Amino acid sequence: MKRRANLIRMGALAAAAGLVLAACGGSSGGGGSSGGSNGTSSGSSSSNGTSSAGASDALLHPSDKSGGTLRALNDSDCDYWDPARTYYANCWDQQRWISRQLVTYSPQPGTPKLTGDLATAVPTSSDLKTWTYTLKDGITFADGTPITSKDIKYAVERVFATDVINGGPTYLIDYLDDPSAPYPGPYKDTDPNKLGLKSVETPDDKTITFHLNKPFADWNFVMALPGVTPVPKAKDTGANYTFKPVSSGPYQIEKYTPNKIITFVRNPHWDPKTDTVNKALPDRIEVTMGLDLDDVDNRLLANSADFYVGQTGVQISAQNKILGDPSLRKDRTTNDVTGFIRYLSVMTQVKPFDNVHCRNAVAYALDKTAQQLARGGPVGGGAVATTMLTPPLKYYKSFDLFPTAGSKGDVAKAKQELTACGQPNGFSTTLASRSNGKEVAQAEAVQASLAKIGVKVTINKSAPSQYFSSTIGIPANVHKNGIGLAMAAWGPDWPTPYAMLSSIVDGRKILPAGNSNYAELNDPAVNSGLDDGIATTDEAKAQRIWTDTDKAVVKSAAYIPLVYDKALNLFSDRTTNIYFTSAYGMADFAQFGVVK
Amino acid sequence: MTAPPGEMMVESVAAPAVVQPEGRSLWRSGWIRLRRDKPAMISGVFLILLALIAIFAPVMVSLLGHPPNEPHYDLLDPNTAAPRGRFGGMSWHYLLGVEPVNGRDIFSRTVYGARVSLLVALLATATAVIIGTVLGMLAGYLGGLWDTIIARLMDLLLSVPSVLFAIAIVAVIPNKAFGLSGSGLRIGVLVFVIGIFAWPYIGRIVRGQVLSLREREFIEASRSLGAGTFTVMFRELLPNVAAPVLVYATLLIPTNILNEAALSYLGVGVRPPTASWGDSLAVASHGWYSIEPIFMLAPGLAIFATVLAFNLLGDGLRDAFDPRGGR
Repeated sequence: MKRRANLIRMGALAAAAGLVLAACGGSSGGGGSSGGSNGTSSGSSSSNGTSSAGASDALLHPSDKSGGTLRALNDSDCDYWDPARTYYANCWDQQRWISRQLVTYSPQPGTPKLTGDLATAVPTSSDLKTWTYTLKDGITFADGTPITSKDIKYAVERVFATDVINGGPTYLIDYLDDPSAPYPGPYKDTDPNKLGLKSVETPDDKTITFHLNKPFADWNFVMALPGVTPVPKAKDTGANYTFKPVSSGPYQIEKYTPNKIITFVRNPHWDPKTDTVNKALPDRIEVTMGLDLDDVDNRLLANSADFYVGQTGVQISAQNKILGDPSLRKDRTTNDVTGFIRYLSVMTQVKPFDNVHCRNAVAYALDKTAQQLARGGPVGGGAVATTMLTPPLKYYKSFDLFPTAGSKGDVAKAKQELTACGQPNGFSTTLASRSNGKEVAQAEAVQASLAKIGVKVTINKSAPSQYFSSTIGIPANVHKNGIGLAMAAWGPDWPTPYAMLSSIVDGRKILPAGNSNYAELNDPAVNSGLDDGIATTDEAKAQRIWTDTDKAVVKSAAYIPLVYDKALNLFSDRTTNIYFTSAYGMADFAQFGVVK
Repeated sequence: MTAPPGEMMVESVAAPAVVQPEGRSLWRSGWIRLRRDKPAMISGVFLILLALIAIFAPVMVSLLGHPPNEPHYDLLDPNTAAPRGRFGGMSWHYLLGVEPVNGRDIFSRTVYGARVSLLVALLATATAVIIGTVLGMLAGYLGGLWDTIIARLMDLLLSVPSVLFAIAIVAVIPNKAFGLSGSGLRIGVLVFVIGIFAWPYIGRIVRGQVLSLREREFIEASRSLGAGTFTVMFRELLPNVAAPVLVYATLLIPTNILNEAALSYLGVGVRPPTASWGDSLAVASHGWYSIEPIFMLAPGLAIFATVLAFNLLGDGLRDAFDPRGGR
């Protein structure tokens, strides 16, 4: 059972998402240093989830020496190499080699911070609806033609052509389209220059202004997604662009054989003076794909390759080797909280969980250390979770509304809640889970925990391909089959609370199909928290709103946080500049070098 | 164990069981020959023991193990989720060690796994034998359109990818159906899915036998005495196809055990936490076998030994009751 690459779960595009969503749920996280990858995470409530070595705050093996070939390995190919179509986190990270955006993440460990990339600076907006970026001088494509604001507008427009350019995030459509006159994308554009999208203005070659249809504080994060990579109209081949994307980054594709190998060489027209982010140390990059994951581990252990692109952590046998070898653990591995959360969804529209006390009973009864073991323990699995926001996210704050001794569950308190719910002797319910990987072990641990308070759980396993799209993504199915509980997982598209929560807890986004608010939570405090949080520009106020919103979600007990995923990743002994970036929930590939 | 030469003679005349309505000497001579087949007899004894283990699993486990679904987190290393100690935590209290991640007793789970494997395989084989014999006889005896329809149906079923079909079926079956729920329903579905794809093997053999038997004099005689179709099929033909059916049923059981294990491995078997060999293999396959081979050896050897035993017994039976009687 190979694990899929660590996908970023998409949020908003629930409807079309049947297949895609299902595929996306699959990230199997690896390990992580619970020391926290940012300043705020030190309060992580994990009872035994800390591991000392490879703290993610650290920059491992810093070096500025260039040269050599960076040898990367992967189990599968990217979904697409077209920057507008890819939706895998590790592919977004790989895009850093060949693509640049208006803004991007500052290359340093710690709280996610944006910096100008193609644009001179990260703009602010007083109404959160109008965002203007000014381009740097001297930026060019790999063929030497200068990058203008029109190339960026054209890239944005491509995302609207969902019949050709699909698979990637659709936030640009959500915030830039005019519902009364939907833009069809550049291929059906009647404008002679194919620049007919009214909400994006390019008054000159250096300036681009976005007019959003509603206020959105996270807009700069959307501008850091690979979908905003400039595309030269003359070289756009539509659906085939994925095979030959034009580079704007420090490297360009030399040779690409799908599912086998992709190699990158330096882009001669990339000017390091315009780029404060990419280190671009190796002369050449080779990504070998289609490998067995144990094989990947063995090659890394033997130093015949430098890193695993999926970054979902090593397999069990390599993990055992690493944990038994302190110097290997210290020098060549990282163990970071990825930002992905594993949680239990408690269906508020299925009896008896319509009563909050019955949900509280579950929250108190769960042995979260058993969940941690089911995911692979504190190193390979993750840290015990008590919040829905994960430690690498902006505004994360630790709290525990259902504290139990050692996070092992509190039977007495759970039984009190059962009595308050009018079910003192327990009841029977059904727990849905995917049929592969670690989720079945998690489900069995939930079953064992709830058996202690007299709640009899039947586990209903579904094929992963239909789990999110049909089993728990269609509320009518959930009601009909009496699914009271469901295992779930989510990761944000960018490291902010809105990206994490808006798709999974918003009561106004409960959809008849493709639903991702599985528990059908519709709590006014949560809904208004989402609206207020995304509309505020004040940092302190935002911190307060997001913590309150997170607390309201956890207090509802409709979503019970279980484990913050961690990944124990292995690197070769020559890899330099290894550090975790919350932007992609993994190491920042753009900084790697291979000369110490 | 040497048989008197006369016995061999009996067997060779027994095949045209025409004049001996009960065909007793066929069974008797077969049994005598089977008794001389040591591998088959050892396998038979092993299978009887296995059946007893499965039937008395609760007793065995209460004496030698722990409840199969009881987690023992205290036996696991909290850092790696692997059992403490060597060989998967083997000890006098845990004869085969405990599973990683949840610390369940592997001995108990292997013993209980025998129940699921044998139950599903035997019921599925029974289903296949009943459907295969009835339809095979109809096709062979009635011929014509009946034969065409049934033979093509068998061809069709043999060409369907049964595992994919099973995964699809399990996915659409709700929690309660046909008056069953929980593991009972899953076992019912497994039996149905495995049985429905196994009957053509029996059906083809029965059809072939009946095609040659129906031209024989004893059938003619029976018909000319006024016996109806039904009577001829069940009173005259059935006893004559019973021996090959028994042989192929025995050889079908191990195939069905493997099918059940494969489906459980793929996650469409019995519901967790019910123990089954395929499910235990799936746990081991998540990389744990590389740390402690016992996780894979226990269910793997159980499947291997059971399948081998059924195959050896089936081979012995075929030698003893060779349906072609040419021996």
